[in-house]
Amino acid sequence: MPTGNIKNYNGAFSTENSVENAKMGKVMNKKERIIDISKRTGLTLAFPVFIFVVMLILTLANGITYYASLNTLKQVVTDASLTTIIALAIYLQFKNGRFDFSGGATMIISAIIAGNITLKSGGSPILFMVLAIVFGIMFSLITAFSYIFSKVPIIICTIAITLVYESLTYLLFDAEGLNVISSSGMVIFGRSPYIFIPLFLVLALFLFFTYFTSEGRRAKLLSGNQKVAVSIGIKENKNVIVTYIICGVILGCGALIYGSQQIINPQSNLSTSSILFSYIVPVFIGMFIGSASVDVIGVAIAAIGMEFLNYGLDCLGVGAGGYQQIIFGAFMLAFYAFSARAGSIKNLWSRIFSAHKKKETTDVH
Amino acid sequence: MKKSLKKIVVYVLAVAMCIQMGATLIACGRGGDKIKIGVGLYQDSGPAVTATKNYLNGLAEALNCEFEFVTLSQTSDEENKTTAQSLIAGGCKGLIFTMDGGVTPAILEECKKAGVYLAGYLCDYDVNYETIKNNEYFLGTVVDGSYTGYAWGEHVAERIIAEGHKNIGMIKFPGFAFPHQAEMDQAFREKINEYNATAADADKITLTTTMELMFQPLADNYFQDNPNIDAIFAMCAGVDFVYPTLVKNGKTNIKLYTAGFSTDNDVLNNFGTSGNQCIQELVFSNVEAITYPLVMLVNKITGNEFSDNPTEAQRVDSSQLIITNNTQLDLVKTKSLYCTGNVKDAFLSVDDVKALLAVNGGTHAKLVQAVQSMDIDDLAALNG
Repeated sequence: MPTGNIKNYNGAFSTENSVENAKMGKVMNKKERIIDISKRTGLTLAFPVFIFVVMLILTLANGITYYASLNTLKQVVTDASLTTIIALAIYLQFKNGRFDFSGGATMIISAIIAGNITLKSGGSPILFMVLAIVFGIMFSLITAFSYIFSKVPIIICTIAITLVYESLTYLLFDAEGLNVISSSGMVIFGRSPYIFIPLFLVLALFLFFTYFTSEGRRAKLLSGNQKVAVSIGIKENKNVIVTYIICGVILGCGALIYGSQQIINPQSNLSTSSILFSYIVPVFIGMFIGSASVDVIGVAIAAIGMEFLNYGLDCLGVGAGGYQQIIFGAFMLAFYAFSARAGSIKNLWSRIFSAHKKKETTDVH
Repeated sequence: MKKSLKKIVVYVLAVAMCIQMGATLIACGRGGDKIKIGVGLYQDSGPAVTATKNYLNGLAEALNCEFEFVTLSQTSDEENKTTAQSLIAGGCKGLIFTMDGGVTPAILEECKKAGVYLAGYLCDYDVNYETIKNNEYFLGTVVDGSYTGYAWGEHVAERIIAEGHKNIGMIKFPGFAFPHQAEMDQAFREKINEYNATAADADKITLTTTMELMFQPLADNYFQDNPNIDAIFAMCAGVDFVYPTLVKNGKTNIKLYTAGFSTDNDVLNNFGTSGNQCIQELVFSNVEAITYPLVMLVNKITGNEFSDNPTEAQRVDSSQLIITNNTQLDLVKTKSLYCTGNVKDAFLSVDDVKALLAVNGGTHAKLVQAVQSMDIDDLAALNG
């Protein structure tokens, strides 16, 4: 498992500790290693398990018995696929020090063009996938070059690009958007089990780019301090282009699933940014969870946890509207409050644990 | 040298301004003959918008009108008031709006100041009707179908009984936004209860509690919550809010009876006995219903009045196209203005509309009859 370039969210649980141990010559024995892996797995899975248990108790208390079923699990994992993909697209730019508003527009316009061309060409799902990725890369590159050549801040540049892409949704295909949800042969990648193909493609690409390419590793420097990174020789423009190509593939896969599952209408007034950022919660939760393993796993697990929450709220009849917003907001606030103090909690835990150990040692002597 | 250059620039600018002012005056003079009407729709694109624009533009010359189209906000009353002010400032003598809201009285105040009239299109003006119906600047409205929902609720119940469905899911929008869907629900339930009272136990129909969608697609857990349903009565826009969830969950074996329509092939190819045969009923209002507010406005602006002109602004029902089978769908697809966007497919020709004007002997009764004679049988009769 790569350990080199992991974003340490707050220093609470980091694989970098293992690296430090190794550097200090502390080689873990087999037992310690098993304990370490178990601890990390437990910490990673704690979030979705906690959400599941809470929602299970709430649903059972309301007389809903089907929450703990295979069907729920299947639904949650399927829905988490798109959430994970879009969250990773947001996170990839975020990780590279950029806050990109155009991702949603790129995804929507790619889905509309790829979907309509595919529909007119016979409805092959493979063609839909290829075209979605090609258009995803194309529009991402347009954004990247606009950013490079305009030299305006990324937020302003991507908002402008978003407005341009959104206006295209009115100009193309008679402003009819995309509706192919019933074309069962064409939209297989929007459903289980084929939905996992674009998901695994994205996970593998993200892992490879982030941990096995020099460009991916340089991203950490750029996100840390862009000016210093550039002054020590990192070429930001190259990073922008490469990152946007990878992001284009991810958004293309997102477009494939989104267009397969939803009716897409023409968009305006930055509505595509709303679509994009409705998937942002797993990014922040994933960064925290990922500190126990790797961030990409953290985002995927966070997405599953959030889908357990969504599904549970649906079962309770508060999956939409004001109550859902209140519950979601309160949950996010509680989570951030917890994660911000995770370091203190860990220190407190360590102090209690070491005091207990010291007492045991004294008792033995 | 510099002074003379400045003088030249000043002279050139002055001449340019004079030419511009003259051109503007000429343009205003020419435009002054025409009745300018602002049309505020709640959508900015789609077949309904295209058909409405085509229909009105087709009538423009014969009625000596010109139209300015704007999109109204569905969330901001203030924006809509600003839109109305802009249209009035732009020279509109009449406004046709598809939306009511808290600002309608304020818009009418603006109308009063400028001598402009307002009329409604596919909107029941439920929020303000009682307070504005006697306002001389409000000329009435044509409703999106029937003002009450009882008739359609009963009609769908009759179909459900006839087609032998036994477990029915009931879905609607919240009452605060769509109060008349409660009437559909009530009429449907009463009809089913009436049937159940005499039916054998095995034939009785079970209805779920009516679920209210908060303008979000139906949730995936609906089918776990209601595992036995074989049909859904979606009083809301089921094509957009229910059908995608049915497809996503592989539940297209459940029959969908819904309000709303789409010209999208993905929907039309799965209607009745086609495709996955999920969608069984679609309903929509005719674009030609806009004839009511248009004629009322033209009459008023040109200083004419029907012999039977109502003493207070009317809320007039319009007939809808209720599609229940593939033959009807084919007819609608090929022969309705909504689908073709072609003015020659309109229920009312240019001459028909002209004849409805007061100046040409039209009456309010004839106008109401015209917008209430546009159902699926009328479309079939019109096309032989």
